[in-house]
Amino acid sequence: MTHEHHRLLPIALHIDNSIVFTKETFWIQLQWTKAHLLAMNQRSSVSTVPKTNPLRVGFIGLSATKGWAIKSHYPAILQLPSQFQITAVLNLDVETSKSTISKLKLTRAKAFENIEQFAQYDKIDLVVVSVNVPNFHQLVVDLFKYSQGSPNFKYLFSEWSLGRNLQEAQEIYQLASSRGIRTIVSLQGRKSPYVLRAKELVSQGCIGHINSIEVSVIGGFYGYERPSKSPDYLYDAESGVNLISMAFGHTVDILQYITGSYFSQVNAMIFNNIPTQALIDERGKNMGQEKSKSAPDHLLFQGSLKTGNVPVSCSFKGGTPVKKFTKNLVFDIHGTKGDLKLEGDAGFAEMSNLVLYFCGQRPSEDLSTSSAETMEVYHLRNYNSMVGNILRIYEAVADHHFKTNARSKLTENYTRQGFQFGGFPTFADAILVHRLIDVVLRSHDQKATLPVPDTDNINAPQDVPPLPD
Amino acid sequence: MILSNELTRLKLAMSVPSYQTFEDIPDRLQESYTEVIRDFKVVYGHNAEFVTRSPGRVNLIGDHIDYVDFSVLPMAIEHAVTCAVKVTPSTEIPSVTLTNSDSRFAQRRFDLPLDGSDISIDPSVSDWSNYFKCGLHVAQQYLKTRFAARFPADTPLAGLEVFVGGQVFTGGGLSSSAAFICAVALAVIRANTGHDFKMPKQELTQITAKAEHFVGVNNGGMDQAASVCGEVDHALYVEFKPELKATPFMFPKLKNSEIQFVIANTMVVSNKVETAPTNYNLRVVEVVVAANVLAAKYGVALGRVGNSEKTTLREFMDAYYARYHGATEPWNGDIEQGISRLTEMLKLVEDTLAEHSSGYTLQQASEAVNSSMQEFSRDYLTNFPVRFQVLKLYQRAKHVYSESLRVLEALKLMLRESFASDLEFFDPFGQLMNESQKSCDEMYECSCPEIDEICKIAKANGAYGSRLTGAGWGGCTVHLVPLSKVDDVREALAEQYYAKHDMQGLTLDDVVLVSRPALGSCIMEVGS
Repeated sequence: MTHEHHRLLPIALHIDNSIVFTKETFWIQLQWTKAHLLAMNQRSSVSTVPKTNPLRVGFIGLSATKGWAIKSHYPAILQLPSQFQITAVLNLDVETSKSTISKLKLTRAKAFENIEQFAQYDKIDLVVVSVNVPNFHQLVVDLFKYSQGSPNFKYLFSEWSLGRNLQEAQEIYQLASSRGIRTIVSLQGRKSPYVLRAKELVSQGCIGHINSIEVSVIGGFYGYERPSKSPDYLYDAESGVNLISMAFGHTVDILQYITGSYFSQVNAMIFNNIPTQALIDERGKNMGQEKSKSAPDHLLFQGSLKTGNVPVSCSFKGGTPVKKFTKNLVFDIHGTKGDLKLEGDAGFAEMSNLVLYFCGQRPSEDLSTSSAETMEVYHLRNYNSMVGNILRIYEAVADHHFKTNARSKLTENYTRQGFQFGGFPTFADAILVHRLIDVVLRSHDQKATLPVPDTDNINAPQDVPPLPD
Repeated sequence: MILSNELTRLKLAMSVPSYQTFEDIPDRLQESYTEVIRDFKVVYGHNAEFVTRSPGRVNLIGDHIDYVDFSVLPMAIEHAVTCAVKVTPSTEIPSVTLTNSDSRFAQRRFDLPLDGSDISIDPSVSDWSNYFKCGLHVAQQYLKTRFAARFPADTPLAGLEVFVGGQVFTGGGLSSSAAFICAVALAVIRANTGHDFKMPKQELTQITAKAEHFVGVNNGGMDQAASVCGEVDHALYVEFKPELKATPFMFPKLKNSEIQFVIANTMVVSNKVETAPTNYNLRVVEVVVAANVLAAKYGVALGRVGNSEKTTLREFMDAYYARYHGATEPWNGDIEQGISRLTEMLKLVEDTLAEHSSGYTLQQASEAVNSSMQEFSRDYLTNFPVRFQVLKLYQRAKHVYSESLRVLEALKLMLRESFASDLEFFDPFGQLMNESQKSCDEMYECSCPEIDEICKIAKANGAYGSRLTGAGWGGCTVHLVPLSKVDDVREALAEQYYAKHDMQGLTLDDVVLVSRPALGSCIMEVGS
């Protein structure tokens, strides 16, 4: 393994981005893929203790007692304390920040009263924003406004999505682009080991050409019941946080990433058949009260992938009751030479532990001489996907910033991850998902199949080319 | 676990030796101790508090049967992993810093969760700190269960600065991973309990036996038992059923020669984690499926025991004897009874599994255990990632039963009081090793051309028996050689093998080891 790896290395480093991949260069591309994957999975020689100072992290929305950040970002940062150090905390009230700092013993962190002071603090290199989407746009607009004079602000790491709608997201994207900072978005499904293994098998030609794809997902909050403590904005169609932005957004991004193709045309139907939901208490007991809901509870989506005109059929169920005879998350990818299926008990592929089933052609690293089909089941029993996928984004950012891993070096004009194995997703990747969501909404409104706008004006220098014949 | 004193006159220490001053440390360990505390100081700028040491092992015979609960014959070797450690002040955030003497393993630092929760381990990534985390994890669980009052569930353990020195080849089949994990678990326990604590060997073995499962390797407990319970000049008989038990014994005294085991590294790196889906873990799955196919054929019910909690070939043997021979108790380890039962098992393997000697497809295997392909995948294939074209149940089961049989024969030879001539030991023991190698190669398919080449050279130059040791697919080989022939074997290997292979900057002494059975895990305090 190691010897082969060294042999491949020069090929990987000498590949010119401008090479047009043909049948002849296909094998080089396979090796390129392989070398990158090895670089990604073998981390023993990659130091997590750089010679220079850690990136100073200003955290908006980190609370020791509640929210997503304490369950995912914080444990990820704990594993890389020499590369990331929290120096500033901002919450809606300063008391939350102060108690978070003391509870988590963030000895180097300062609590801030408001975004203006936070943005002007000169000890922040990386701002992480993990707040409710409805508050996101104004907050980030203010962050850019007040941080004009801050020379150290180099990275902005935001949760998906970048605002309530495409327009808000575009504005944020423009602000970040014109500021020239590096952006990172939590489309962390791209770092799931299951997604990467699926992408690897597809890109190695193990299932041949993709013939068709079915996806079915359960969204979580949008069934007949909702927890009484769940915030109202989740159920408000205008808030931009719903079945489509969350379940569909993450899922479709993962699907495009695995297949290495964007969509060319789509058609969607959006439902709100459950206008009122029953409230349940913490033990799941019906409380005999109801609340109204304007957010959708079902999405039917179909479309075709640009590469190979592949038919994709998706059904997103809102929530409870969960399915009795089918997994809550299924990606079923059918190829000319094999099949690949991802299954999960929870609906969210980006943060759950999945199982990958594959049957088809032998992967290139498999030296077996048997003529039978290859069968693979990939499941990591102890993998903590809530922390792990986010941790891998932080690792990719650290690899880039500290130049720890020569093999995973980003190109100079890295603007988006596109379909590369390495790197991290950026706001440009997020915008493409926002655009797709916008087409979905318009398709529903217009009752029409619509083309997906070209991706050309958002540049991706290293998109993996389609497989040759 | 039980540490048994029944086969040696030596009075065995039941807890891990702890040396309080430099003078107490056995002479052979002083050099590595001095080296690792010096390196610690260079890196961290102050003195370490203590050093833990845990050796690698070589398995003389009985490979790939520990996870099926059959007994094995390993011995600890002089090459070991050492960890020099300092506990960081409790006023700071508990953080672990790791530095390795080998530059292929880059520096690491991570904080311990303040709420005392477990550190997460990502088994999809190959990272040396994962092994540290395995040792840390089992030590933390141990402290929190055994000393619940002193280590409340919601408080973190102490932060550590660690320098890791080691001479065990990684990926060399001498179990560097188990040695490392045992040294780490011992260090974490010592760091948190203080220098007075006596760590029972039995408990250290118990907690480390399955630690590697957290990085996704479904191993048995042989390596940890050997690393922890090793004794100078003693090999070990390690049993897993009815209980995990290690029994040290000395090699027989021969009339004219001394028994030596020479270890030669193929220089082919075999990383158990990275190749697990097609190698190590796949074998574990194949033997579990084989046990269930046999159980289905003979209509016996099996409990959920063993590594994958889906039964073992040993349990099938007991269930079969219970149903067809009225055996009221499972096999208790008696040698003669074991030989007769294993011989019977080999017959059943021929009768049942030989019809698919080219391997079972997923569909054939599912049918053979009377389940659908979906049920089969769920029950047998989701514990660890696996990839295959066919499952070679016949070959794998045949290897396991015959290899277990060879261990019993080997043990009989080792325990014999006297031999009319030295050849009465060398010939049959060597023969068992050669048969074991053949079975590993042809039945278990865990050998490789380099192993075959080394074995051939060694046998032509004085070795009576030559085989791979450890998981295989590269790594090290072990050779039974009388002391008088050791130099011949070494020189032949140097000329005929190593001259043609990349030595990666190592000398012959680094790649060919002539080791006496060595001491197991120990703690060495650094005097003030």
